[in-house]
Parts: sequence; C-alpha cells; structure tokens
Amino acid sequence: MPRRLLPLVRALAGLLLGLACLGYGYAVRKVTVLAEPAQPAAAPEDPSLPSIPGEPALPSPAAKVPLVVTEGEMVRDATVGGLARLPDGQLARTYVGSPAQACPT
Amino acid sequence: MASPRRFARVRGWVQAAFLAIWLNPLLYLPVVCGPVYHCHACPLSAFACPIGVLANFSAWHVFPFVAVGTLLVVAMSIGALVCGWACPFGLVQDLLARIPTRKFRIPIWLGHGRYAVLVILVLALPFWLGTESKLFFCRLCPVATLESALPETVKTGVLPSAPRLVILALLVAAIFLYRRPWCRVLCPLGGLLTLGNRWSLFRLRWEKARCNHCGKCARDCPFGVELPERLNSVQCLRCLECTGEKCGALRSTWRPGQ
Repeated sequence: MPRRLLPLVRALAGLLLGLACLGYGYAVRKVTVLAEPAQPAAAPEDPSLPSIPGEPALPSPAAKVPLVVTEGEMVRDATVGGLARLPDGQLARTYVGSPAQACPT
Repeated sequence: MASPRRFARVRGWVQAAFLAIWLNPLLYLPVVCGPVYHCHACPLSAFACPIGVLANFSAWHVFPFVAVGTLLVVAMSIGALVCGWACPFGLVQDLLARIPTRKFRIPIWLGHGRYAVLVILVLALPFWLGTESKLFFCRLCPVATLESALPETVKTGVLPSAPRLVILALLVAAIFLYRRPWCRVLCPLGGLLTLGNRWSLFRLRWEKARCNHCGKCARDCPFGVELPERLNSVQCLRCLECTGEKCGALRSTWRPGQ
C-alpha cells in the first residue's frame, strides 16, 4: 500500500469501527433489566380466608419482571436517571410506566 | 481568502445556528447521543450528552456501544471541529471572552487534565461508587449546573448544591482570564475528540513551500497551539483561524495524506 494512503485508510477504518459500534448498539444489542409491571395484577381472593371488615388488604409488593431493552432505550434512561444497578449486579428500572421528565442529578 | 477576524464572526453565527439544533424542544431525541457537550437535563435539550451517557453506563457496568460509536464517528471524521464550531458551551465561553479582559496563556501540559477528568471522574468513580454518589460526574459538572440546575432553580426556587455553584463560579472567573479554559483543561469530550485530530478525515495541512516562517499563525491562534509544527495536535480545537492567514500555508483538507 502506498504510504500516503495510510492516513486515509486509518481514518476510514476508525470511521467504520464507529459505525459498526453504532449499528450494533442500536440494532443488535439487548440488555435485560428488571422492571415493575405498569399495572400489577390483583391477587385472586382466597375464599377460605375470613375477611376482616374495615381492614383494607395490604398491597403485595410487585415482583419485578425481566425486561429486554435496546441500548437506545438505555441511553434515554441515562438522561432521566431511569436505571439503577442493584447490589447483586442486575439493572433495574427506577420508574413505572413513562419515564421521568428530568435527570435526578 | 478570509482574514482571521472575518472567520471568527462566521464561526459565531455557525455556533448560534447549531445551538438551534441542540436546544430544540421540537427535536426531542433522547435515544441519540449528541456529539457536543450539552447537558441532557436541560429543559430544551434535544439529545443525550455523550459524557453523561458514558458516566451512567460506567456506573451500570455496561459497555456503551452507542456513545463510543458516536464519538468514534465524529472523532475520525472531523476531530475537534465540533469543539470550535458547534459546541454550545464553547459558544458560551466565546461570548463571555468578548468582554475585554487580559487573557493569559494556559500551559500545554494542563491539557492532560481533560484525560484525568475522563478517566477518574467520568469512568472510574461512577464505576466504583455508582450514580447515587455525591462525586458522580453529573452532580459536579458545571455545564449541568448552568444548563439544568439553574433553570430548575428558577422553576422551583431550590438552589444547586454549594460545590456545584463554586465549580461554576470558578469556571466563569477563569473564562475572563483564559480562552476556552473548560475546553482546554477539563472537558472530557474535548479530550476525546481532539485525539481524533491526528487521524481524522478532515485535517489541517501545512504547505511548507508557502510558509515564510513569520510565526503569525502561532500568534493568532486563540488556543496557543505551537503552529505550524503542532498542527492537528490535541491542543487544537479547530477554530480554523490559522487557515485564514494570507500566506495560505495552513489549509484544511478532506484528503489525509495528500
């Protein structure tokens, strides 16, 4: 290869690498995060248990379900503080439904 | 051929035109990393801040392909041209620098501070401490203070934290004493993009046959780059003022190696 072509080849290689990263990030890459369901299903009532008059049923803590998100969604979540890393290393959504309007920082 | 003064005026208009893109409530694309330093928490912001995304992904322990790809594409195509011509915080610094005060030179070695900020504050501390830490980069960033925390203060009446205000005040004071102090000493994005200056498709070329070694290009460079020898160095923010000299020895080109 002629020596004067080397800078052009180097620049194009870097550019292609960047485009490959972008393409992979947007089109291929998926990450699993934990998210609370938007509307948790009501627990079916057990007819064998006596109901206490005047005592509202305690809401059961909504179990987080795994959700596969694209990296584009993670970038959006970064702008609003929408993801947090749990102590066990898993990622979890910090909102339910639509994301917050502003970054918490 | 444009004189340096005329070139600077054109640059101001181009920066203002780009501001209409970055601050555009009709163009809300938070899934896209913008190529400039601009807080995504700003109420009018259209794109995600690449440095904020890097810091968050580091805290999540996830490799940021989108942000890295965006930065690679910009760095390898035009290098730091966005710093000189498109960055909104660069425009803020350029406008404040028009207030006539004596400007001092910044030692070149201080430019390494940008990489220290990138490695320590943007990548390492979020990786170890997470996003909730008081040392999380976005909680200290002066651009975030200016573009999102202060507008939020107008809305809610809650003042930004004392460290944020002190950092912003120090930076504003520095703008009156130095040209583009943030870009040249602390900006992690500028540090990354100027790394592409040497390898990018768009670059500056020194035609030695035309050069009479008068040193005018070096004197006119607002960022103190040792021209023409250190052309395309990491100190250059590509304002292109040097390409407006009458000798024509420094030119911009899209054909590296030619």
